[in-house]
Amino acid sequence: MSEIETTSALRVRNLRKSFQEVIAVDGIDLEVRAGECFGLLGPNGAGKTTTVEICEGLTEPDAGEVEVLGRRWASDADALRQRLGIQLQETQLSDKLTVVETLNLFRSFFGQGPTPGEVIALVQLEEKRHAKVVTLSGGQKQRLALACSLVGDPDLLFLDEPTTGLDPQARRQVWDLIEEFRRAGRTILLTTHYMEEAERLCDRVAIMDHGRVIARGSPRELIEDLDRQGKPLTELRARTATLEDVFVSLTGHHLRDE
Amino acid sequence: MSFATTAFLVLKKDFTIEVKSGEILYTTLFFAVSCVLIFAIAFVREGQPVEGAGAGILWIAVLFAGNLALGRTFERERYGETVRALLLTPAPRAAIYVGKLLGIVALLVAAECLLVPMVAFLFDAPLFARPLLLAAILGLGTVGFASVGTLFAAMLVRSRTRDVMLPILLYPITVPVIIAGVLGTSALLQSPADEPVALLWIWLLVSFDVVFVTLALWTFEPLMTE
Repeated sequence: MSEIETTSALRVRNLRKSFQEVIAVDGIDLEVRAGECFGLLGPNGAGKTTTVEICEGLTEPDAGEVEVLGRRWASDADALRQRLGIQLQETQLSDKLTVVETLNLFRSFFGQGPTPGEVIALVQLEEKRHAKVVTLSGGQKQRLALACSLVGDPDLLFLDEPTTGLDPQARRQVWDLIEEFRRAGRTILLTTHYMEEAERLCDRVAIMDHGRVIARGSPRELIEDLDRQGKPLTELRARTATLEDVFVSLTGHHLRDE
Repeated sequence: MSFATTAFLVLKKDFTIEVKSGEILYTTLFFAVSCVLIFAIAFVREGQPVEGAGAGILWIAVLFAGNLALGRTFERERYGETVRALLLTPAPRAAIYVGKLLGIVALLVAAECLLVPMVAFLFDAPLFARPLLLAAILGLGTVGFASVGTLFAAMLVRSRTRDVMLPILLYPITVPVIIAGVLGTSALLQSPADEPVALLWIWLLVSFDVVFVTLALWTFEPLMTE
């Protein structure tokens, strides 16, 4: 692992992005510390994906500063891409390629990192090594996508809804891989709709809505804040609040379209 | 990772997928051949083709097949989010463009290898009289058309109106290439072949290609970032 020059893996200041009349990101500040798993939560259309795409160097912001691993996209794009791992949301890769062909392709773009065979073993896809992507289950595809993001031995990993649509077993397998990555001292920025996932994996979270950060802190802190606010009981059950209660309390019950 | 290696890897990926599926190659070839056959039915009367029709028909078949190939190729990329995944790697972005461009050019050259003998036979066109000059005109015209097409198809990959927008953007901009290709080929079909005129169009095609490819390499990264 290459040395991280700063204790902040990602710093975002006053970030703004609009698409015509729609304000996707409205002046947010974020800091992800090196070695932590940071969750970016929010309902559909909250601005999470746009924020992450700007941090990944895929979209230009209208205003604001983004510093990734102590570097900026404008001056250090090539060096930065060597140190980032990015798993796309609902990525399907090329159906006709096999698992090993896909990983060979992505591995060949990076100057360092484990061999495709090592990554295949890490995500437990050895038996599917020569299987075409189209034949993989949803969980296997997600593990392959995660493997593609790990081939460059990244310092910072972006995971965009890594377990959406997976069954509980597949979800837990992906969680185990993420936890293993974090235990190795790497940094993760995770977006998810699953509060259970954020509660289990994230050291800290930020909740976004309408392009702004409306709450931030550790899941435990946010839950305790909600408890302290003493929301009126709607049912009598012996349980403590969860991060999902925090999320619904902050962002409301109404449905959102993309 | 060098520029050439990246372009080769992107080309190899597309080639591997095409070898396994044959989807775009067969669709493009079938479409191009059908196009020429329909023109042959319409423009050949009692074994006599309309004079000078061969050049235009050859280029119409190549351009329509090219449009189809561009659409299908990037539809596959859109479905797999592959272009986006490649853009997130440390691969030089212009090299990704070159890899995609080479794939489209290879596909169109394969179509031309089938179309040229067909047009020569059905329209009694002496296309093989000056094979090197014909290869130069077709090759340069194909690169010019595909360079703009690849850029626009990649740019429109996430747009809902891509199927409508691609030909609307592509054909007007590539008009100089189309005119040079058709007139250069027509010069070769005259009896005797008008080599000086063909060479003039070849040099114009070289100029168009240099301009189009340079602009595409320059604009690919900013266009794909938005």
